[in-house]
Amino acid sequence: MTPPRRLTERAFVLVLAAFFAWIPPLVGVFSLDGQIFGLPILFVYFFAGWAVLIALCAILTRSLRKVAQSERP
Amino acid sequence: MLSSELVILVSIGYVGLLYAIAWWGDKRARDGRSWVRNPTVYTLSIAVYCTSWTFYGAVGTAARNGLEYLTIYLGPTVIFLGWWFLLRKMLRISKAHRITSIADFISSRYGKSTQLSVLVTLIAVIGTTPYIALQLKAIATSYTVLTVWDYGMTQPVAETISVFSDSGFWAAVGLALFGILFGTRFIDADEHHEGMVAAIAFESLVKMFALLAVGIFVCFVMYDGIDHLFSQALNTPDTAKLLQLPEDGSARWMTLMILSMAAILCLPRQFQVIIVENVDERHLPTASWAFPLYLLGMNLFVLPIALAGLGALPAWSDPDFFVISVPLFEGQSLLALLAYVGGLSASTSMVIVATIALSTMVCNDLIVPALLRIRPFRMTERDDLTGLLIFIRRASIVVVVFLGFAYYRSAGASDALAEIGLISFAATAQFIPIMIGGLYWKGGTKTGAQVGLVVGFLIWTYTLLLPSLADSGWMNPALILNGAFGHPWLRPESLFGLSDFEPLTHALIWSMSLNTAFYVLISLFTSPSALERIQATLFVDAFSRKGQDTVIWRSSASVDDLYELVERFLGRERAFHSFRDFGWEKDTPWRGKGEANADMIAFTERLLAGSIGAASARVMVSSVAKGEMVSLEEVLEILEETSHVIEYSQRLEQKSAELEKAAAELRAANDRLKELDRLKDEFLTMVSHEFRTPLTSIRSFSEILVDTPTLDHERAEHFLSIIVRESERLTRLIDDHLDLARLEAGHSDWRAIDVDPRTVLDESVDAVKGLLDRKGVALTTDLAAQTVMLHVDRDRLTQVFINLLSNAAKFSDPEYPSVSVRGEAMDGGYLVSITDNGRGIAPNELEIIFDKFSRGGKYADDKPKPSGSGLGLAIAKHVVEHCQGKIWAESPPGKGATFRVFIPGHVFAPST
Repeated sequence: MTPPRRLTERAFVLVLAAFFAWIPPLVGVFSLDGQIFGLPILFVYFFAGWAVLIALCAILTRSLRKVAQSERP
Repeated sequence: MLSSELVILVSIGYVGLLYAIAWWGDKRARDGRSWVRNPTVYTLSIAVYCTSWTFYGAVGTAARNGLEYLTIYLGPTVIFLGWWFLLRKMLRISKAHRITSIADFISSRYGKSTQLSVLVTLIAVIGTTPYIALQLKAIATSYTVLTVWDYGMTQPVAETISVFSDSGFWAAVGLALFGILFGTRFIDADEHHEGMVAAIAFESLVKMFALLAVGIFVCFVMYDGIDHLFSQALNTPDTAKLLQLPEDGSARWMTLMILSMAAILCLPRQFQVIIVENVDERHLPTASWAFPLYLLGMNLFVLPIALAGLGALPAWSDPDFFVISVPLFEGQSLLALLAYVGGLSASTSMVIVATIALSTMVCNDLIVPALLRIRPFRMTERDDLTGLLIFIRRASIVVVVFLGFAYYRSAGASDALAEIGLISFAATAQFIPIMIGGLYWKGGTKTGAQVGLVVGFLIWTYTLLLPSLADSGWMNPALILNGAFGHPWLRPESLFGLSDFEPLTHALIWSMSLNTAFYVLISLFTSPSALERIQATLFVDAFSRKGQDTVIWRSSASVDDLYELVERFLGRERAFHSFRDFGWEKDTPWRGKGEANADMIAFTERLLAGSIGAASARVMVSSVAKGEMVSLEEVLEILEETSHVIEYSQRLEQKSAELEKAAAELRAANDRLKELDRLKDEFLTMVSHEFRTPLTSIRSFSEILVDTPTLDHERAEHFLSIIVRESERLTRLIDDHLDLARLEAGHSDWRAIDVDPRTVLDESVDAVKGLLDRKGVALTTDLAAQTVMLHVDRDRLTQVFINLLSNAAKFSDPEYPSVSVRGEAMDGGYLVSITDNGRGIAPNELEIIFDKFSRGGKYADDKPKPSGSGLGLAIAKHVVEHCQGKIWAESPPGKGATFRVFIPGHVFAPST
C-alpha cells in the first residue's frame, strides 16, 4: 500500500493541476482556431480534461478511502 | 404551444410525485430500511447545485458569453477533487459537533457565538433571496414560454400579470407546502430529512435526463451530429466567437471560478446536503468523483443547445429558455414538456433545500436566541417546545419563500438568470475567509470574524446589491453614477477609483480583500475567550484529536432535569431513546433525581445542539444546570489559585517548622544560658575561693614580714619562699584558667599529626620522672607491641598524660606509692590506663571529677591537696573529647583509682 503521505501529496497535486488548468492563462493558451474530430479545440480541452481529472480522482480515491478507513478508530 | 391546463396538470402531477417519494423516503427511514443511505443518493442530492440557473441559465450564458458558463461547474469540481483536504475536515467536525447549518458551523468555531450566528443567518437569508427569486422566475417564465410560445410568433412575450395569476406565486405556495411537510415533520436530534433527500435525488435524475434528452435531440435530430453543429456555428462570426475565450475575460473568468468554489462550500443548501444530510462519511469519496461526473454530464450539451438556438431561433427570443423554445420551435411539444419538467425539478429542488436550510438557521440562530433573551416569554420554563420549534420553522419557510417571491416580483424580473445567481454567490462567498481561516488557523477570533464578515457584507451591499436595485428602478441611479455624497471615489461600481473591472469582479476584489484583511488584522489584535480557544483547537485539530467536546461543566443539574429539557425539544420518544442508549453505553443512571455528571451534561448539550444549534443549546442547558459552565480561563484560574494556596500552605508549614525549631533552639539556648549563668556563679565562687587561698597565705606572710622587723633571717627566708611558691601556684592557676578558657571557646590552636601513642606516653613518663623520683613512687609501664596511629595534637596529648600521671603520683598511697601505666591497641583505637594505689574515688564523685574545681574530691574525710589548680582533669577531658576520644575514671573500693583514656585511630601491624 502506498503510504498515506504520498497519497495525500498526489491528491494535492491533482487539485492544483485542476485549478491551474482551468484558470487563465492556461485556458487562454487553448483558445485556438481549429478542430479535433470536428470539435473546437477549447471545447475538447475542457471536457476531455474534465473527464481525465475525474478518472484520476476516482483512482486516487480508491486508495485514499482505504487510508481513511484504516485511520478510523 | 401547449395548453395551460395540460402544463398545470403535469406540474401538479410532478409535484405530487415528489410528495409521494418524500413520504416514502421518510417511511422507509422510520422503518429503519433507509433507501437514502447510500453514496449514489448522496451524490445526486449534492446535484441540487444544478438549479434552473444551470438548466436554463447556463444555456443563456453560453449563448451570450460562450464557454464562460463552465466556470460555475469547474470551481465545485476543483473542491470535490480536493475532498481529502477541505470537505472531509468539515464533515468530520460537523459530525462531532452535530452541526445543523452553516451559521451553526461558523458560530461553533468562534466560541458558539450567538452574534456571529445571527449575522451569518441574516447574510444567508439576504443572499439567498435573489437566488430563490431566480427559481420562481424560471418556473414562471418557462410556464409562460411553454404555454404562449407559438411557431408564428414574431415578438417576445411581454405581459404584466397579477400576483394570483402568476405561476411563480403558485410555485411558491407549492414549494412552501413541500418544505413544511417534509422539512419540518419533526424536530430531529440529528437533523436528517431522508424524505427530502430522496425527493431531490430523484429530481436530480429528472433534470439530468431532460437536459440530456434535449441535447441529444439537438445534436442528432436537428443536426447530423455534434461536429456538424459546430461546423455550422463556425460559419457565423457571432457564434464562432463563442467557441473561444473573450479577449479580456481573464479577470471575470477568475472571479467566477473563485465564486463557484466558494459557493459549493458556503451556500446554505449545499452545506445542508453535503454536510448536514450526510449520513456516512464514507459516502464522500464516491461523491468526490461522481459529483464532478454529474456536472460534466449536465454541461455537455449546454453549448450545443445554445448554438442551435442562436442558429435557428429568431433574434428576440430569450436564450435563457432555449432548452424549451428550441424543441417547441422544432414542433417537439412533448420534448418541450419534458424540458419544462426538468427545469421545474431543478427549481423546486433548490427552493426546497434552501428553504429548509434557511428555516433551520432562522429558527436556531435567530428566533430561538431572541426568544431566550425575552424574559417575559419564559422560554426556559416552558413544557413542550417541539410544537413551538416546528411552528417557527414552518413560518420561516413561508417567510423565506415569499421573500424570494417579493424580490422576483419587484426587482429580479428584468435580469438574466445567471446575473441574479452571481449576486447570491458573491454574498455567500463572504463566509469563505472566516470559514477557511477557522478550519486551518487557530488565531482567528470571534471579533475578527464578526468585523470581517460585516465589512465584506457591507461592501457587497454597496457594490452589488445597490446597483442591482437601482437597475430595477427601486433606487435613484444617481448614487450609482456619481457615488455617495457625489464623490467619485465612492461610486459603487468603481470604489476608490478602481474602475478597470466589471462590477462583479470589482465587488469581489473589494469585499473579499477587505473582509480577509479585517478578519486577520483584528484577530491578531484581539484575544480569544477560553471557549473560543477550545473550539478553535477542536476545529483546527479535528483529525489529531480523539474524543468529542471537552467542555467542562460545573453544575448541579439532576438527571431528570436534563431529561425533561431534552424531552421538551425532541419529544418524548426521542428523549427516551437517546438517554436510554447513553445510559447503557456509559453505564450510568439515566433517570432519577441523582446529580448528573459532566459527561451527561455535555451529552445533553450536544443532543440539543443537533436540533436548536450550538449557541442556543448552551443557553438552554445552562438554564437547567444551576451552576455555570466552567471556562478554560476559570479552570486555569482555579488551578492557579489552588497552586497558590498549596504553595502558601507549604510556605506556612515551612515557616512554622522553622519557628518551632527556632523556639526549641531558643529554649535550649535559654537553658544553656541559665546553666551557664549558674556555672558562672559557681565558677566565680570557686575561682574567688581558689584565688583566695594562695592570696591569703601570700598576704599573711607578707604582713608578718612587714610587721615584725625583728624576724630572723632564716624565718624570713622561709616565709619568702612560701610567698614565692604561692605566687607560682597563683600564676599556674591563672595559666590553666586561660588555657581552659581557650579550649572551651575553641580558640586554641590544634596541630593534628599522626603520632604513635607509645612515644607520647614515653615522653610523658620522662617528663614526670623527677616528680615521681622525688616522691619515691614505684612506676610500672606496660606498653603492648601492637599499636595504632592517632591523628592528634601531640603536645596536648602529652599534657593530658602528664596531668594524669602527676595526679596519680599525688594521690597514690603515701607510704608505698606506686603508679602503673598501661597502653594497648584496641579495636579502632588506643586505650591508656593509669592506675594509682591510693584510696580511690568515692563512687558519687566519679562523674563530677572532670568538672572544674572538683578537685581531688575523694572521700569525705580527705584533706584537700591545695597544690593543684583543680582544672587539670577538665582540660584533659576537653582535649580527649576534641580527639573524639573518651576519658573516664574507675575506682573499685580499696583498689585505688584508674583513669582510662581511649582515642580512636588506625590499627597497625605489630612492630617487632
